Amino acid sequence: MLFNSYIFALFAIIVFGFYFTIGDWAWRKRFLLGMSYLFYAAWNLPYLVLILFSTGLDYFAAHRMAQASRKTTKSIYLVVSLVGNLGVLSYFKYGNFLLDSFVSVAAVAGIQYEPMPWNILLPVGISFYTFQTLSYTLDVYRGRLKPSKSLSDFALFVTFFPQLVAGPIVRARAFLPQLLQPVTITQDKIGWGLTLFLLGLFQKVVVADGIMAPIVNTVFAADGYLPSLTVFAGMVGFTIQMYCDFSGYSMMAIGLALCLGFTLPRNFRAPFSAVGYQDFWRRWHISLSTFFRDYLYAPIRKQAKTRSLTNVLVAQFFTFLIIGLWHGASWNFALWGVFNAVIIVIEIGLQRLIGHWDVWKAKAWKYIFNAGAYILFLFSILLFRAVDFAHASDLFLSFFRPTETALRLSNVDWILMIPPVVAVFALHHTLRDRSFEAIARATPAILRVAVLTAMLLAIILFGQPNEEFIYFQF
Amino acid sequence: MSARGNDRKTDWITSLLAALVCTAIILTGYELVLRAAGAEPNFRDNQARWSFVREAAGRDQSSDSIALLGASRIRAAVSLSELESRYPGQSVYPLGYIGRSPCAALQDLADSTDFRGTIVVSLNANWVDCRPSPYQMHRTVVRYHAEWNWARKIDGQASEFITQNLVFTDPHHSIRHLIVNTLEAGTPLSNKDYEITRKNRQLEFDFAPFSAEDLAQMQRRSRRAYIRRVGAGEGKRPDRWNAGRSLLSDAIEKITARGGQVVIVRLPTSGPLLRAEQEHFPREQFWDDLVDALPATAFLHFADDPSLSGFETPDGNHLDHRDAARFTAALFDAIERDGVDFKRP
Repeated sequence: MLFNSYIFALFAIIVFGFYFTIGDWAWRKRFLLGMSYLFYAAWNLPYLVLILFSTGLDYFAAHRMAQASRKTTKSIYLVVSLVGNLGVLSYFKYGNFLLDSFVSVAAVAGIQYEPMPWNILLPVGISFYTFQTLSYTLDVYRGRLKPSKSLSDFALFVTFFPQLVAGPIVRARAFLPQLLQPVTITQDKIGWGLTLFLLGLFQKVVVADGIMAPIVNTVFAADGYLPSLTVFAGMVGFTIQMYCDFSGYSMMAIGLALCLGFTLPRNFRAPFSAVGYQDFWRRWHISLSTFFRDYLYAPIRKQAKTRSLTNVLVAQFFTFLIIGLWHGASWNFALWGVFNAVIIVIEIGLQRLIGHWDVWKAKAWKYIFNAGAYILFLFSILLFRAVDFAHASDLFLSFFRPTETALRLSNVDWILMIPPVVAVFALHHTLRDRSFEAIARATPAILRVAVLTAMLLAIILFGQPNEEFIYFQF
Repeated sequence: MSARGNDRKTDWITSLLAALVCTAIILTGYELVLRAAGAEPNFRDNQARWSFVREAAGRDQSSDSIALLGASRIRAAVSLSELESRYPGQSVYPLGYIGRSPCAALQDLADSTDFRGTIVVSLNANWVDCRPSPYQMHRTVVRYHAEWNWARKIDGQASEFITQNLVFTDPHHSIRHLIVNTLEAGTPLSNKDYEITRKNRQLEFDFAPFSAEDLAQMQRRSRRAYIRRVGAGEGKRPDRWNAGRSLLSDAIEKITARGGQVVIVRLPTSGPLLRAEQEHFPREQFWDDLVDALPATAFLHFADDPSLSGFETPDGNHLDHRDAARFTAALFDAIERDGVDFKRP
């Protein structure tokens, strides 16, 4: 069930219609849980079993961990949770990739092996809810969280429909306490929540799907060396499309949760205003990068027991490689992770070596590092969006080789594309150190109504079919 | 982004309600302007509407059913009412999709159904490349129809209800088209609503209101769109061509092996578009290669049959709806002359 669909509008009317009329908090939570299961079943009913499995496994494992007095016993239950969750994730998400890789390796060794086709649909949101439940067992194992006393509360944490299929990845520590007492719902929260939902919907329907997707699809469907300007436009268009698609979804999720009285973490913080590549990753898909920081990077560092540069670099490299593979089961994503890792490692190394020089304090460097971070991200997305490595390489070489395919964007494409690109960059630089909410609240009422009206009209009149969110595939 | 930590209260609900009222007023005005200009509600064709038809085709196991695959050309050229009166009692499934190659849909019918009727495929040489791309139906077939369920059906019904009652939901009146119209015709509103989608997925083009100059502009636009697609790499490379041809061949073999028939047709085009098609995919090199290589029941190129080559495509690409019934009769007469029996028990 897409947020940008008619059936979701119907679903939301039913949820909000009943939610506010149920007085008892326990029943209200049960209602939300039931509706969250229905929300997921609207995609694929059989795959609901996977969520139920994950919920049951982690609820059980966390309780056993808490009861265990010996560390070894706790570790066994942690391993059970990790193997269970990551096993299911690996089977559905990486099975095909592993099989293909095995066939390729076998072919190199002279063994011809033709397996049965791996026609298994990827369960929507599996990477998100798996990581969410893992954060719970890992926190209980580390003693940072007490296991939830209520199975239905825990199930609601795993399944909460606004962020179930594409995040933000919510930590149990942040969400479960909100279920202990009835949430406070105010008119202000509902109004701001609906406004965020509308803003997210605008980003998704108008900017990502309506303007950028047709241009990006055309450029990335082309073969051979293209004109440099066309490739550049396609790359810029895809960064804006991906940002508006994913941050639009996150904004809608946060807005919906707020309407129901819950607070979800931010997932983006004006990433295109980042000064440097590490700063970029502190602002892009924050709930994922902080997940890996806390549950992968930090333990690796801790394991090393020294703060040497080599240890930092190894931990960073490994973390970004896994982040790449989290995004998709292909060598392109693995290379994308390696690309990011190499950039981060170089940046950290340079910071350690020459970061203390006074010369960097000049304001001009801030802009240079900002542009540098964006350009690096721009080239990294060639690996992210291209069909395979050869395709990414063709697109990259288009900047240096004579054009083979004279694909050029039309005037309409340019007229539609340039204003949102400029607007996104301007907005990000404005929001670098300021709160979006503060700016929105300071806007005069008449201007606010005009902007909201313009967004509503654009959403209704952009005339694109309902497109899935890019991050649903992860 | 949270509502916490900010003491200043803003009346968002009032702002949203005011915006909703303003939006409703503007949309009502736009609807009235469009209706006054002669526009009518149009069915918005989408993945859901395709899936409704595909679901029915998937259940069908009779040998006298007919499926039509291709893009806008076949949906405009073949009159469904003419087919129904020509073959009474037989089911017809219009499974074409605007701007999309039929390759993935043919593979889907071969692999995921037991369809054993006759499949008429409108195929252009530039669509033989079967790799997933924006010009393919993979997304519809694999990503959408594979998860076709009650929720998508409700969504499809809701979409149908809205589009058949409100003119402004027609993509031809979208903001993108307003901009295109302004740039190309100097006026944002096009009062010439020439492309109508019927509830049964019949596509109708009405070129009567257009001057010769308008039609010449449309022909140039058709050519530009084609060049852009061909420029975007649709299948000219030998490896892509061979791979696509092989996939098509496998799908056709599978269908014919269970008693089905597959007819490949090349529908009429004209003017600058036809010249561009011939330039990029010369018939002797590409169409003739398909005829030699594919195990289809019959092939039909419009240029080879005098009863088909006389039809005009005013925008270069599509037949006018007034010609569709005559063309359908001529096309199916020609296919039957090639030995294809549509009334098999």
